[in-house]
Amino acid sequence: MSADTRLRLVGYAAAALLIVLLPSLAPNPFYVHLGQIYAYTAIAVIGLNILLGLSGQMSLGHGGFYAIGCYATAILATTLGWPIGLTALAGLLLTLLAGLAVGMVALRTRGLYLAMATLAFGFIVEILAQRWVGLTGGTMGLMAIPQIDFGNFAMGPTYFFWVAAGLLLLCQIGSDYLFGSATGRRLRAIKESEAFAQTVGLNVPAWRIGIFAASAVFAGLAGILFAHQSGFVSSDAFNIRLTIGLLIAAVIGGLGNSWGPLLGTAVLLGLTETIASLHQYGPMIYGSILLAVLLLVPEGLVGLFRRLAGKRRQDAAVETAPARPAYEIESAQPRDLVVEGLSKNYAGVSALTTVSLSIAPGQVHALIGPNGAGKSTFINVVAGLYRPSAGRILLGGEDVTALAAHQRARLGLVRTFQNLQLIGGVDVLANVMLGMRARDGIVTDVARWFTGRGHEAGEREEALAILELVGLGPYAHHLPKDLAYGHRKLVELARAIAQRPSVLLLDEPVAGLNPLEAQAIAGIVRRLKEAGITVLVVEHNMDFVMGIADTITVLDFGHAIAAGLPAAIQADPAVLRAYLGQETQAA
Amino acid sequence: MITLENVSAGFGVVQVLHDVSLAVPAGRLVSVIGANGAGKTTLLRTISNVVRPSAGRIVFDGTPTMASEPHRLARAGLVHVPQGRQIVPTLSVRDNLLIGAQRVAGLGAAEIETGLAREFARFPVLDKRQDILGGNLSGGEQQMLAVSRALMMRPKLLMLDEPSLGLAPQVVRTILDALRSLADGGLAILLVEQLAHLALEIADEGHVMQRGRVVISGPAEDLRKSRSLIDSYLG
Amino acid sequence: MSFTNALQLLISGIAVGAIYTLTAKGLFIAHLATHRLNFGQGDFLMVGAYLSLGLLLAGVPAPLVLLAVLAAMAILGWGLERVAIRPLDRAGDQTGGYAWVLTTAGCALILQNVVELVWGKSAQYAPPIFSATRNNVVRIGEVGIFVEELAIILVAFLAVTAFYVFLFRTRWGKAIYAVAFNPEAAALLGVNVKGTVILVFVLASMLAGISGFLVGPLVSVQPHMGLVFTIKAFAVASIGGFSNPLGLLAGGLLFGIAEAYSNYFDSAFGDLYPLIAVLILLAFRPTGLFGTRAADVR
Repeated sequence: MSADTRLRLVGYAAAALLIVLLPSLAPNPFYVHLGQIYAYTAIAVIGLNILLGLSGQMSLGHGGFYAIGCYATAILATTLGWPIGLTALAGLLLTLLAGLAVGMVALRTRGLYLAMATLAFGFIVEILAQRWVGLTGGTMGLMAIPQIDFGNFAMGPTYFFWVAAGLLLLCQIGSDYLFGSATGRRLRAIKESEAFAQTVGLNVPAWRIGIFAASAVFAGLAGILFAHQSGFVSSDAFNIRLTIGLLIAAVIGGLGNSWGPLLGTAVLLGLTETIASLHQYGPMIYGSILLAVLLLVPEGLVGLFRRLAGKRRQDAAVETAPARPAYEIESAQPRDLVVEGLSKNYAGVSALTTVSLSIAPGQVHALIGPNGAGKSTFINVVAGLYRPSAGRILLGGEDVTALAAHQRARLGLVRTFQNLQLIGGVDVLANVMLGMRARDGIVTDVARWFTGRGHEAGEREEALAILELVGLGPYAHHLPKDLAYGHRKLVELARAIAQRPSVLLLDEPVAGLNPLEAQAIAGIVRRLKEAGITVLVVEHNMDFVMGIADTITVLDFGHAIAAGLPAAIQADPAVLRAYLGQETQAA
Repeated sequence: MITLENVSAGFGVVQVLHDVSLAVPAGRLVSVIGANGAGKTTLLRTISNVVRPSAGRIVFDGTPTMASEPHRLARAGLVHVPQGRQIVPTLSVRDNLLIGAQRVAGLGAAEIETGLAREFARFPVLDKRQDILGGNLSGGEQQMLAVSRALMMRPKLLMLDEPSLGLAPQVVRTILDALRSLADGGLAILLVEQLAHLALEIADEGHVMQRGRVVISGPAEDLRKSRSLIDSYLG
Repeated sequence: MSFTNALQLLISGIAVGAIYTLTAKGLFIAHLATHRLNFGQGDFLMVGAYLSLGLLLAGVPAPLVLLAVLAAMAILGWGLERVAIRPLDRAGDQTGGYAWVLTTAGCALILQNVVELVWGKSAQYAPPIFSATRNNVVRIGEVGIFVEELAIILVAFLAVTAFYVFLFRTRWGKAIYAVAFNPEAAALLGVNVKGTVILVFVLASMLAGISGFLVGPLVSVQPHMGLVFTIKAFAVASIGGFSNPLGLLAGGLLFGIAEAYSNYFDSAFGDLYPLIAVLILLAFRPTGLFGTRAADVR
């Protein structure tokens, strides 16, 4: 069990103990009241932290989800008289639906558009709460919302605290798991490169909308608890300041850090209590805090503590791991790749015109041609990033033309990129592990994570072995940006191998490498071929191509002008003219 | 035109360049070759002052570069064509050519028109595609545009970072030939290239870099002959 | 609805839409060059509106007021870049790519508070700029049209035209596109990157200033009016697609006109329908009506 895991488990136990004892330890009921507010506010902040910190999506409308949860449970409990459990459930369901609806925007856009859409959403909810008086009571509000007291009025506040704080602890454990598991890594991948995420088989839209809706539910839960704590809700509670307050807490704690929200919320509550008497300067104080935190301690309090303690998070243990057996390249299942009559037009310009080719398992096929001949387009269409205008793509006899990129990736159609797509926020090892499918089921994975025993050990070992195979062993714990261009290319290759491809598309694998480095790659490609993997390679380096290709297709202006064995291609006059530049002429 | 004396540089705590000295006089084409991660790109970025040197002296056209920001150096004629060409995809070929030229002091409208005509004559394909957006050019056309765009600024020193990257052999030839004739016309050129044999073929002088140091220097002709020695440094 | 009504609404819609367009242009140009923008653009508009209100009430002639507002807003834009944008480069990406959303929003909160302290919280009415009274009307046949609205449309379109000339015809326009694509490469072409970034934020702020100057006679001015304008300018920029400066103009007019009519038909919730429509549009056409998809993975 690692030190981190031990610390975490001790933390959970201490938190549970504190929750049980706080009501009897508190010198007066005000502290329990404060504890209640802390618990549900922190839940909303955790949701925001997952969204902003992990998936990189921005929301300026979480106050809206909070309000929806709050009104749903309040209206159902007062007007219809439903029992609290049921109203709370309905509230969660409603925020989930609202989250999915707003998340529809998150599906297709990111960053700026999403920030705008959520800002508008929060604004619309606020206006509705104000003006739809028949439903919400407007600024006069809804009164006499039942409290959570399990029939014992005197013990009500204590019970409520236990419920809220218990839920907070559960949410915190859930958040810790997200941050510490493959799920969190995948969210980071989606955050940084959609193309990468699709390539490793992730259904990006589903993940996006899912995490957005989940985050909305956290806010909704907080709103529900708020309604049953205060017993009164009015539209004044839900203006933009609520959202900004939650954001401030998330930022103060430290975005992208699972423990941040607990600290941030504590600071936020302290601030709110302190500035209550200075309310005419409220916005100025909030604004200054946002600026000060983001500019002076952008890593938040958790990061600041780490920095002060001089503690650097490192998985140094792995460096000293025993020598591992050399990696055996495995193919998932031999599949051939057949492309029939592929065409692609961009806005009237045809980039590809009825290109066909077929590659048997264990064969290396090279696609060569001048720049702008359509080679990259071809790879992008085959991989599923672009839709073809005409033609079919068959993988092991199965027509995959209609499938999305991530679905093709799951069938073993794996690629590398000419413009590198690596996840900069995690190290080289994690980049490779992103290519792997999880070996444990979710239950086993959670259990292993919780106890810290052997969590992802197999994946880790395999990834390290693959890195050694491509010669990057010493760089496993570097960030991709610290590697030279050619080495970053190798990380892509390692990630692709980790996906256990049936068919591998290599887009200029040796561009930017010198001849000796290129030879090493050629050696790896030969081993891929021996393992029965079908390889399609786009490359300009003729020594490299002639050394590995079984067959070659030459593209020029989107047409296949020649196809055949390397020797024949090298002698083909049309190819010499179009590509190899035997008759020198200016383009 | 440019002289480096014992230049060291790096990012944060990582030192990438150690004690590099070299010079490129007017009319000479100097190639720098080396393995990935040898520090070639950092060398060019240091000369442009994008990366600040931590030690040593760089003198361009008789003036130390220390205090000049990259855009001032570029306007003064130290023109750097970065890796990956960096053609602005949302501007036309013509506008791309104008960005730099319009910022060089003393280049009037008439000189700029002359420059455009000269570059269109150098790479006729650009003439035909004047109004096409930069992003819609092929890799080879983009590299020609990048060279022309730099030449529009009336450089005294032209630095190129891997102009061959991702280009078909024929286009590489066209570009390298253009560079050779520019040097013959009196321009100082510093060329960083992966394709060592091609780079040495057109160069007057060569430097081989390994882990941030210049390990071999000499006339390109001599370096071409000792191919196996050079290969041992490229691995 | 009579023809007269319809025409009056159309003119009002165009006037408001023109103001949205100007405000949105500020978002567009900052985003174009830096991939960041001012989330307090509406609050900057609010500051512009208060400044012109104060100066007009003090008896300063309108053209001088506009100049003074432009100058003040330019300084504010420069300050914003120094305080909320540039320092982020040093902080790195620890806060995710969107720290600027929160720093600019933080500045907006501070401005709101300052205005509240100076002018009070209650709504105020700006005097008319171009005519003797707010309700001065020119008659075109049966139809009466407010002089203020016509003048606002005229000034707004002059500003829009000047903006296009700047963006497409000057060397600074090209510099903005170059910096947008790759700041380091732009510097190697002699472009002063820091200067360009300051320039776009100053311009954005000045555009908010003109909008604030023009909007005074149309709405009541109050310290919390900014958020609505930020949201609507965003909506306009989204319809246009952030990548398309001409789409922005069409988007602004479309939004202004739609809002004028929907307010006429439903006075309680009319202002929400165009916003909801834009949200739905975003879900199905994420790059707006006129944006082009710029995904490129070559």
